[in-house]
Amino acid sequence: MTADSLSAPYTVEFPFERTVGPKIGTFLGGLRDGRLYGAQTERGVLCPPLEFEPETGAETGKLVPVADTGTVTSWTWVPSRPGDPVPHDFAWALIAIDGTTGALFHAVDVDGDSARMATGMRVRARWRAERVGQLSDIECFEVAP
Amino acid sequence: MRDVAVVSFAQSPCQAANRRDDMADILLPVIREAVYAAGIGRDDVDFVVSGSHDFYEGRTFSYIESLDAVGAWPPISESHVESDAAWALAEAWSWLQLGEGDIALVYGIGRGSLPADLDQVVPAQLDPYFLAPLAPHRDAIAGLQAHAAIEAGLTSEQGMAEVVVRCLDAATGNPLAQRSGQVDVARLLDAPYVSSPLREHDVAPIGDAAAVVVLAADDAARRLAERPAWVRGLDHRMDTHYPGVRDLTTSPSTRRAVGRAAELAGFTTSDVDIAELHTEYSHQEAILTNALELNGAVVNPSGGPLAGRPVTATGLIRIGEAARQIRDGNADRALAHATSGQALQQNLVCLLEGDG
Amino acid sequence: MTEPITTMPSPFRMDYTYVAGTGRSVFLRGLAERRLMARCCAGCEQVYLPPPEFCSRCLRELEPPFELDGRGVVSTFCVVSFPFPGQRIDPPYVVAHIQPHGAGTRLMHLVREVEPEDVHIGMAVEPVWVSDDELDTSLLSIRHFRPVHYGGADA
Repeated sequence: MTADSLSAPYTVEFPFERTVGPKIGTFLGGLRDGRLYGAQTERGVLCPPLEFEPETGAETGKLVPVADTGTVTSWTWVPSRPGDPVPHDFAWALIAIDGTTGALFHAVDVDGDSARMATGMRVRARWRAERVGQLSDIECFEVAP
Repeated sequence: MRDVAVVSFAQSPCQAANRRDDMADILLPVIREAVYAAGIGRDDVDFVVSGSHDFYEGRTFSYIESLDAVGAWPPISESHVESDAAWALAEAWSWLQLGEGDIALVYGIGRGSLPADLDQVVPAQLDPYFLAPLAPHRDAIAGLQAHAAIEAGLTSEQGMAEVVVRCLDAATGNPLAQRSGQVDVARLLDAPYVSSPLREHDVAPIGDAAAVVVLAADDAARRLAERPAWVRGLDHRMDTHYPGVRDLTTSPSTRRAVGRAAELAGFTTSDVDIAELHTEYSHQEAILTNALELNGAVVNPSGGPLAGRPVTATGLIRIGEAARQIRDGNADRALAHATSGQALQQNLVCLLEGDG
Repeated sequence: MTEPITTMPSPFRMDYTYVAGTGRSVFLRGLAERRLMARCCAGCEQVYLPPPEFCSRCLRELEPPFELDGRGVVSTFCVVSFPFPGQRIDPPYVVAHIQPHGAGTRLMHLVREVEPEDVHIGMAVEPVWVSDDELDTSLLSIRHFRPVHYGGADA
C-alpha cells in the first residue's frame, strides 16, 4: 500500500459585512470626513474609542474630535508586502494621539529608512483623498514637521 | 476540592509540516501511548476534552475528525475548546471537581503548517474594527511588545538571543523538539529582523503535533501513577483585546492567574523548582518571569516553545512537561503557563506538586 | 456632526493545504482508476467506504483495501430546490446517501437520470463515471449515481 498522502491547495473566503454600532460607527464616519474621534472616559479621552473602558468595564462616553497628530510609543520595522499601506519597508506603531489616553495601532512611513524611527517621535495622519469610512482612510502616519 | 493529578502525558514529534497524516492519524498513536502509560483502557475514560482551532485547520468543526482517534462510539462524554488545549485541561479539571467521573483524557492538536500564509490567518484573531482591517504582519504586535520590553529595560536583543541559545540547548535532550542544538549568540544576532527587534530565532517555530494528558482524581490518581503530579492550583485570565490600551511590558492577567492559583495551591512560585512557560517569542520570558515572580526556577527544561510550537497543542505540552518533571522525581513543585491571543493577551497558570 | 457608518466590510481570505491522510488517499487514488476501494475492520467487521487508516470504533488498523463495484441503494435523500453561490447544477436536483453493496458506511452523491419525484429510499443505483480525461483523485470522478434495474425490480 502507498504510505504517502495526497495533499492539495484550497482557499477559504469569508466575505463578511460587520455591523459596527453607534460608537465605532461615528469613529469610522469621522475617518470618512477626515476627522479623528476619541471616546470620553473617567481617565481621559480614549482613541481609538473602545465601547467599554478596559480597566473598569464601564461604558465609554460621548465621542469628541481629537487631533490627528501624536507620539510613537512603540514600533516594529517590517518589510512591505502586497496590500500593505506603505509600498516600501515601514513601521507598525502604537501612536498616542495628542490629548488622549491609550494608543492607536497604525503604520508609519519614513521613506524606508528605519534609522528615522524612534520612540517619542512626532507623527501625523496622512489622509487619503477618497475616504469611505474605514481604518485605511488614514493611509499611514508620517513624520510631523 | 478533589485532588486531581496528571497521571500520564504523551506527544508526537513537533514537525514543521506533517504531510502524511490527517488529524486522527496524528492523534491515535499519542492517545495509545498516554492511555497505555496510565495502565487504563479507553472504557476507563469518563470524559474527553480537546483544544484546536479551525483557523489553523481551515475547516469548520474540524476537530470532529480527531474524535475518530478517541473511540467515540458508543457515544462518549466529550467537549472541545476553540483555543490552546491547556484551556481544555482547565475544563477537564473543573469537570473532575464536579465529581462527574474520575478519569479525563485531554488532547490538543496543532496544525500550524496547514495555512499557506499565517499573515492571512492572524487578522482573524484581532480586533475586527481597529486592527484586522490593517492586516498587520503575523509578528508585528509581538514586535511592538519586544521593542517596548527592551526600552523598559526588561531584556535586550542580546538577552533575547541568550534565551534562545539556552532553550535550543535544553531541547537537545528532547527528542520531540522541532529545533535544537548548540548555537552561538553572536551568530544569531547577525540574522536579519523579521519584525524588529525580533529575528527568526526569537519567534517560536510553528508546526504540527498532538499532545495528550490523562488526569485522574483522588484514589484513581494514586492507583494509576506511582508519583502523580497533583494539580494544586489552576486559573486563567485575560487582558483587554486592543494592544494600544495595554502596557505590553507587563502581564496583569498572568499576575492575577498565578495569584489565584497560588491561593488554591497553598504555595507560591518562589517554591517551584521548574517552570514551563508558553513563550511564543523569546522576549516574553522576561515579561512572564516578572509577572509570575519566579525566583530560581529552571525555565523551560524541555526547550519550551522556542524549540517547537505546534500552535494549539503548545500550552498543553507545557503542563505535560511540568508534570513529567514531577513524575520523574526531578521536581517537587512545578509551574506550567499557557497563553492564547496576541502578545500574551490570555494566560493560564497551573501549579503542580508531587507527594512529599 | 459626523454621520455614523453602520456596517464595514470584514473579509477574510485564507489559503490552506489539505492533507488527505494515507487511508483516505487510497480511496482517492482508486477513484482516479474508476475503482471504489473499501477496507474492513477485523475487530467489528465494519466496512468503511471511504476508508480511513483505522477503525473509529475499535481503534485498530483496517485490513488491506479491496474493490467494490459501487452499486448500492439510496438510504436517504433530499431534493435541493434553492439556488446558492457556487452551485454547479441548476435546481431542483437530488442529493442522496447511498449505501454501496458490501459497505457499512454511506457515500453522499447526486442521483440523476431520474425525475426527483421518482427517487425513493431503497432505490437501486449505480455510479456513472466521468470520461478518461476527466478522471482525478476526487469524488467528482463519479459524475453522479443513476437508477439501475435488475429485471425491472428494485434490489
